[in-house]
Order: sequence, then C-alpha cells, then structure tokens
Amino acid sequence: MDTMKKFQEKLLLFFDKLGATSSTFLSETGGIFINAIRGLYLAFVPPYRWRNLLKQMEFIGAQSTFIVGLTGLFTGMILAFQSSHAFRLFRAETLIGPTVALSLTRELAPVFTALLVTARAGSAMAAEIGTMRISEQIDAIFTMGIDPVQYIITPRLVASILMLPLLNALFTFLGLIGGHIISVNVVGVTSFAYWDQIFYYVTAEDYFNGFLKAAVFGYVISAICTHMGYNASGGAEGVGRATTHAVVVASVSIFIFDYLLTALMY
Amino acid sequence: MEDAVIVIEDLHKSFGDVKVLDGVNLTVIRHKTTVILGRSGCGKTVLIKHIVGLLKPDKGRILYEGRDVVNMPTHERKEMLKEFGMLYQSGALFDSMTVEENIAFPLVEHTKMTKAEIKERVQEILHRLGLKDVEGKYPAELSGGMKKRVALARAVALEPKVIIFDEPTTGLDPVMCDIIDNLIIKTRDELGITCIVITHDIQSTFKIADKIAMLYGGRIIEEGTPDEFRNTSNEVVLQFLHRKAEGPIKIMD
Ligand SMILES: Nc1ncnc2c1ncn2[C@@H]1O[C@H](COP(=O)(O)OP(=O)(O)OP(=O)(O)O)[C@@H](O)[C@H]1O
Ligand SMILES: [Mg+2]
Repeated sequence: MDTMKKFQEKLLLFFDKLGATSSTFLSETGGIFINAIRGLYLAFVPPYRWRNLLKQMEFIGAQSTFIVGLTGLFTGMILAFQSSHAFRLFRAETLIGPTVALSLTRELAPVFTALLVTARAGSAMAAEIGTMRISEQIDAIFTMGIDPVQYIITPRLVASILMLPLLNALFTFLGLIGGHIISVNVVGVTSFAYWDQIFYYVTAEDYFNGFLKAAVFGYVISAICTHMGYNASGGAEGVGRATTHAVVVASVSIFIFDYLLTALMY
Repeated sequence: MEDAVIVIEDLHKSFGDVKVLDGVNLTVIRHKTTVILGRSGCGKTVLIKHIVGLLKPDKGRILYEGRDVVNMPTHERKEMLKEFGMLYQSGALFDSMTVEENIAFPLVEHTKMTKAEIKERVQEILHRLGLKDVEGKYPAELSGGMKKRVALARAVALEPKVIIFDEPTTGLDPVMCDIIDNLIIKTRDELGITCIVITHDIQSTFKIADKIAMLYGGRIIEEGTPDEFRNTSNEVVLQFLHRKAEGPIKIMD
C-alpha cells in the first residue's frame, strides 16, 4: 500500500514536471513568435534608425563574409570530390557541376550560411542583449521613452533578413568556384562543360528558393537569439545560459524550417 | 492643497512570498525635492521602478499629472517618460557607447538640437560634474565614481520635468557628494525640476530635501519637512538619523 502511494506520488510529480516543461516550451515558442512579429512590425513604424541598421548589417553581413566564403569554397570542393567517384563509374563527369550547383543552391548554401551566422552573430546577439538586460541598459532605454524592442531587436531582425541572402549568394558562388577547381584540375572536366551543364540544369527557381530559404533562416535565427538575450536573467551565468540556449534552439530550428520550406517548395 | 505631480496610493508589491511594498502612500510635490530614506533592501528602488512603469504593482494606484501610470497605453507612457530622467543605482550606462554618446543619447533621440549644440551641452554638463577628457572613453574605462557622474549627466541632460536619482552620491568622495548635492539643488531652483532622491546620506538629505519620506516595513512610516524630521519622536526614524545599531529596527527580517 505504502509503495503504491509512493508510486502515485512519483507519477504525479512526473506529470507536474512534464506539464511545466511543456508549458515553458509553449510559452517560449509563443514568446519567440511574438518577438518575431513585433520586432519586424516596428521596422515599418517611425523613427527609423538607419545607423543601428547599418551597424548590424555590417556586423552580421560584412564581418561574416570571410568564414562564409571559405566554408563555401571548401563545401564546393568536397561536393565535387565526392560526386566525382560516382560519376566516373558512368563516365558522366560533366554532371559534377549540376550536382554541386543543385546541392548548393537548394540546400547546403542556405543551411550552412545560417548555421555559420548563428555561431558567429547569433551567439553575439544573445550575449550582448543579455548583458544589456542584466545591467539595466534595456530598462534605461525604456525609461527614456524609447521602445527597447524597436531600438535593439528590430535592426537585428531586418539586418539578418537582408544579409543572409547575400551571404547565401557568396557561399553559392564560391562553392561553384570550388567545384570548378576540383572538376577541372583533378577530375579533368573542361571549364566550358562545367559551367555549361550548370546553366543547363539549374533553373532560376533553384537560385530563388535558396535566397528565400536564407532570408527565412535569417528571420528565424535572429528572432530566437534576440528573444533569448532579451529575456535573460540571473547575472553572468544567466547570460551564458541564454547564449547557449539561443545557439542550440536556433540551429535546430534551421533544420526544422528547412524541412518545412523544402516540403513547400519542391 | 499642495501641487502634486506624482501620487502613489496604497501600493503593494511582492516577489514570490517576499512582501516588499505593503501599502505605500506618497505624494511628490511640483518643483520640490522629495527624499526617500530607508534601510538597504527595504524596497526604495522597487518603489521608484513602479513610478516609471518598469514594475507593475500587485495592488494600488500611481498617478502622474492625474493620469494613471499603471494601465497607461504604450504610446502615452512613451510621451510621459520623455518628461522623466532617471539615474539608475547601477548607472546602467550603455557600454557600447562612449561617454559623450551616452550623455547625448536622450538629446539625439528626443530633441531637434544640432550636433554642435549637443556637443556643447555635453561639454557643459561634464565640466559641471568635474569630468575632463572622458568624452571618448567607454564606461568600462571609468572609475566607479566617474561612471556615477556620467550616469547623472545623462539623467539631467534633457532637463526633463521630473528626475529620479537612485543613490546619486553613494560611492563618491565627500567633496564630490557636495558637488552633486549642489547640482540637485540647482536643478530644482534654476530649472524648476521636480526631484525624487533616494539616499542613505543623512547630511545631504537635510541639505537638499524639501520633503523627506521614510520607507520602513513596506510603508512610509514618516513623512514631512526636514524640520519635522529633526524633531520627530518616531523611534525608527531617530535610530536611522542617528546611525545607531540599537533600537526598534530589526537587523534580521
Ligand atoms: N526583480 C526582483 N525579483 C525578486 N526580488 C526582488 C526584485 N527586485 C527587488 N527584489 C527584492 O526586493 C527587496 C527590495 O529591493 P530594493 O532594490 O528595492 O532595495 P533598496 O531599498 O533599493 O536597497 P538599497 O538601498 O540597497 O539599494 C529586496 O529584498 C530584493 O531582494
Ligand atoms: Mg536600491
């Protein structure tokens, strides 16, 4: 009887915990969603703070070009290498180009770009905004009669939405160059055949969908990372927690949204 | 009836099980300096955060110029806050901005002043607060007392209608304390700004206050002019004013 009671208690405790977890999950998802909507809406409401926007575009976009470009180059090279093994069996080496190009435009460029930006800029957003929260800088902005969401979050959302497609283009372009280097120098495809086949197989829609994915990923990761920082609490440790949480949730979300978008697009 | 700018009525606030404010009533009078005294941790900062809407009360009302602050729509609150300056106890300086940008921030956001005019204003305030050659520095490069003064400069820069100072002199040397006291007096006398000052400094309290309110046990237990405070018979106030360890104030809550 006693064990039965204990078991019941444990079970109830388990359900309590489960309930608490799912309700925090739901409230957090809701919080991110509201943050995303409100932050973007405020981009269309004056005052427009161009300087903040440019600063964020510089940080998220310009300063990411090197790692994005480098990763793109190597991704293209790896893709060409790997696919060359298979295509050699069929003497279809000229198809390396389209394979590299389709993989890049449709999937790899937007996903890798978003992951790289999350690691570089997303974590910084969460940490910076989190620090502003715990040192009362956000309160100070509020008490000056300025909307802190519009001042802090909006420029980061807009900058991410604008810069991710550009970084995606850079990634794709350097990936194609990487594929070209391997195809021409290692596999022995002519430069003309490489580009010709790419233009033949890859449609404008493929490029466009890649850009669209990148823009959506930019919106998603910036909304998540800014939300986590904005709601940080509990001192330096809390900021650390918010940052880790932001990177993890943003990374996973990229794949979830990638699946949803892919299912919708193709 | 005195001309009230802010009226706080029966304000209650708890954090979890901890009751911090338990029915605070306070009136802040126009063009006067109101000093709020109280022990560390008694809820002074919590009280002023309610005035600007950073915290929501569990119960009670706050009126600014007769308007309800608690349920104020966002745009109306924004307009209201433009008439406020606030010095945070921690400074709350923007650490990604220089000293000059920090002080200029409210001016850039809320006035049509030109760059040159703003620069001049910033220089003037910095000079008055005895700060030299710090315009280009970042908050992290300043001493504690310098940070406090820069934060103070930012709070007064816009010359708002109401300024709230949360411990403006804590951590400053006695000379600097007196300079700050004079600044607060000047702010009131020359610009007619209503000031709310939280402090532990009894000497400066009597120098700057038109009205003193003592917060204890979640309520205002005594309220009056400096003279009324000097002649009080309230044991708690006496113990506080005379810095005694013995008395009715419980050390452990
Ligand atoms: N956000 C919060 N969450 C939980 N408790 C809080 C919060 N803010 C303040 N408190 C509690 O409220 C009480 C009053 O804090 P407050 O900061 O107002 O003190 P204070 O009077 O300003 O003290 P000091 O003179 O040391 O600045 C403290 O017990 C504090 O722990
Ligand atoms: Mg305080």
